[in-house]
Amino acid sequence: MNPDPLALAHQRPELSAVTPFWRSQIVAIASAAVLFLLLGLWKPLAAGRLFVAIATVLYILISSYKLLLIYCSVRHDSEIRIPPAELDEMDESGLPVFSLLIPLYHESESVGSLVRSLCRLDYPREKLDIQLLLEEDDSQTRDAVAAVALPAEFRCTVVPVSQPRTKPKACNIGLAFAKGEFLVIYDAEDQPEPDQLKKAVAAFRRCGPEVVCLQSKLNFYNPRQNVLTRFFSAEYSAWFDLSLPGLASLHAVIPLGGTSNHFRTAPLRELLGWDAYNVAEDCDLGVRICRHGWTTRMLDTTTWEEACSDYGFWIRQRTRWFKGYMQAWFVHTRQPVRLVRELGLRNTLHFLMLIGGMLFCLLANPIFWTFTACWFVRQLQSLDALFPPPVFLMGAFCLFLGNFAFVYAGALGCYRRRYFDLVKFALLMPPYWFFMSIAAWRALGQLITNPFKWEKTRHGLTGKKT
Amino acid sequence: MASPARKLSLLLLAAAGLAVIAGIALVAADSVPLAPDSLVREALCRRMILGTTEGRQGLVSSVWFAPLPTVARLPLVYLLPESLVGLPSRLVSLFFGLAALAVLGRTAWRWAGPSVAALVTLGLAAQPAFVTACLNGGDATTLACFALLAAASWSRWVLEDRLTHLSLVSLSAALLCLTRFELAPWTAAVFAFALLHEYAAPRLPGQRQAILILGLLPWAYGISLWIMGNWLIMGDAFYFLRGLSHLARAANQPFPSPAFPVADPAWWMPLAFPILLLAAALPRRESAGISLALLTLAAAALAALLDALGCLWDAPVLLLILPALGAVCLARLAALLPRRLPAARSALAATGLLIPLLLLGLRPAAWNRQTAGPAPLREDGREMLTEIKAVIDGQTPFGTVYVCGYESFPLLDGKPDPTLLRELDFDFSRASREYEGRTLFLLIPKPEGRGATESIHRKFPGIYTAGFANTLYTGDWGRWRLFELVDKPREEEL
Repeated sequence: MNPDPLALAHQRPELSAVTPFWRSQIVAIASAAVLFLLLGLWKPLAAGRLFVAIATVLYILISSYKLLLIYCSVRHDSEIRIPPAELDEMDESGLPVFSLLIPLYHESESVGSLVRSLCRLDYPREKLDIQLLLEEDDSQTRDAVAAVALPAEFRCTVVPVSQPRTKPKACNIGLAFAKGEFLVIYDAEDQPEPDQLKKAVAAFRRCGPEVVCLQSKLNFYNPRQNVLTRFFSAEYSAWFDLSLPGLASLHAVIPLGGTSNHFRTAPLRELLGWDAYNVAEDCDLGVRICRHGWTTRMLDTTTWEEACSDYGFWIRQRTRWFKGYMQAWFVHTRQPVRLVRELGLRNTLHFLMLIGGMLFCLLANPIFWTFTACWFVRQLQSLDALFPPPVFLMGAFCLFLGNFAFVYAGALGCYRRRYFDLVKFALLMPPYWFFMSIAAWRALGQLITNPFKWEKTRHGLTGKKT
Repeated sequence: MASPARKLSLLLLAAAGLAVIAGIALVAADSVPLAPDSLVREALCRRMILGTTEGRQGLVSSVWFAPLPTVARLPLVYLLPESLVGLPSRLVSLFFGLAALAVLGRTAWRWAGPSVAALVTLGLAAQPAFVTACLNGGDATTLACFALLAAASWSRWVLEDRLTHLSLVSLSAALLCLTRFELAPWTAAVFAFALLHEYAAPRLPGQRQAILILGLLPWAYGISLWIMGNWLIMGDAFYFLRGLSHLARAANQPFPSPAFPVADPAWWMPLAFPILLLAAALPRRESAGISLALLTLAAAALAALLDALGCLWDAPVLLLILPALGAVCLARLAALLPRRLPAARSALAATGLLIPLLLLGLRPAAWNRQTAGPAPLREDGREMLTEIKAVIDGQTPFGTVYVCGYESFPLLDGKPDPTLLRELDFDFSRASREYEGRTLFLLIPKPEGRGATESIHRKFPGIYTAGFANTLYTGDWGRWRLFELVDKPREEEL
């Protein structure tokens, strides 16, 4: 068998980021930019006011939306919970084959711990199909794997050197060779809870066939390594323990997290796997699942990952995520009428607010922070002209209440995750948002200049002083 | 997931609910007099929407005019035409009234079942004071809603240990302070209970600290915002608290209607419920019931303390929290009865509500007394201003009048006149500098109740009765007194 890892780009190019922008999108963006520029030249104050007013209204909408998600997650328990007794009663002989895909690239340090954590999984060994996806030119990792005595359920699949050099491309090759009824992706440094696969099987059995994906919660095993990992953990806790459950409770489109997504294999193949050209292929796949009429649910189990503890790697990782979100946004909005028809109006709005809203905030934040700083430090009267009174009042609302609400949500997320000592760190999140904005602007630049570049996150830094 | 039919019916229900609210508010406009503060707040909103300095100053600068009720009216004042004066306030008070009933009903349902929930909710809704508060556009229902939310969430936090309830306690305490600062001591009592509870409860390492941070944060942030607003707008972080230093003097000022509502037993009737609850909860060591009863009694104690200090200036607004908290105590009391006696629970709720309803229904006057000060009249002020303008124009063609205090907002509302300026923080040197060459006048309201703590009376004690070095008495218009400001003795005075 000769699998096509680029099947989506070949067969459904309109759903792939192989062409990052369609001509119609470029024309629309360029037209808006030119119009705004002309307005700016003709009436600069009006242009400035228009920008500020639109941005402020968007801020209000996005902040309200995020608060709604948090409220929903607190009010409704939307996660699928499998009690231990149900797991104990499971008949192991009736369990299906479960495929595990583990893409490895420059991960020689993580191989040993990876094999150990996968061996701890509570699932019949003969029903595990674990594929280590190794890149052809990564001799270091291949040597490290060769040096480990792999149990029988492990096998290695070599991914040939070809463009694009992305994780989804490797996953697509793994998907082609997967033998299981269910399939899950883990990263090299992942430590899933031992009963996670059994929980996934029980949850799939409990749900209807329309549920094709279960998203596990992700969190970190090194949250206290340094300040960066503390902030990262607080952010992840708010995302996976508040926002995503909120989305699930609304039966909304869920942008998948990078690992620990459990799939039914057949529907995943029907979707042509991951988009090899999208550097946040998980987010894109979550939207495509929903566009197909299937759903994703949250599963109450956690996979422990390594929080990036190095500022440089963190920025690169975040750049890649944001670039992928931008790719996904441009891919799915290129045919808006079709998007609404397939996702429905409600889920389209969810998608636009969640992904578009997040990107908008990250890109616009530095502009408004600069305005705020200028106003506080220099008392620039010219800024007052940009904010007509109603816009000023709305802006003040966003600044003082919106930001506080997000900080508080981060603290609540830490408490929910039982990171009690991190609650106080969640209060200091705003500087962390600044770095996220840097990554977002970097992502925008890369989207234009180098859309398929995969900035690799380095793992195995937990023992190093950073 | 709700079915389309269910969604449609929910939407229709919500639309019908909104229509009913708007209808009631419009009908009330003709029958229920508007609360005096609502005129001040709506006028303040209009100044804020225009982006004026005095609008921003008015939002933050007084401990007696806390910012939240103004902010709550802001979108409605912006959206509704100015001719519908009072409607934004009535809609806000009605909304919070319904929200208070929803909080009470939900809590009572959870504790004691639907029949008790229906009884206590109807009981509160039928109180004449509550109905008036819902329709008069004042802040009483806002306070009742937040006080109920704080107390009910507090009890549920003690009972269920769910983070949502802790957040709601903190949030509602913060909102309560930002609605009426007088209730800050009551929120302090809530936090004192929280500290005691956390000290006694078994917790994991670090959990107690996390709970305290999450619990105190919204409250601390809300107050910090107010302080920062004062620092940015007034140039003094604690400007809004300055009035408190003149509390003693203000407390001695006569009230316009000295009849004292706190002395009326009608207000104290609901306290029977926390006392009964305390009696029932103490032997069982039921901490939720004990703390709920103590919090209700603490609210009553605070009202009595404010009364003793002579500064319970808005009794009908502040005291409405007593029947509201009393109702939630009654629900808890019913919940403490054995589950096998559902009829007894309902009978308790029914009897408990019947007595105060009968008493209060016979004594409606108790609910309607205003003690905050005279109602600032928006329309009647027009005649007074015309007369003042005529006097000034007869004296000089270049006159400018500073109208002092919060009452200036409704007084000047809808009367755009560049010679009439609202002033919350009068400064003689600044005024002389900014309006050099013009003849300046000060229009000052009589220092009554909380009005006696306003900036003009703090800065120039006794100005109303004796003026100060740079003023010449010009005349009186009702409660208002006009002074001319002079730099030096004029020729005719020498």
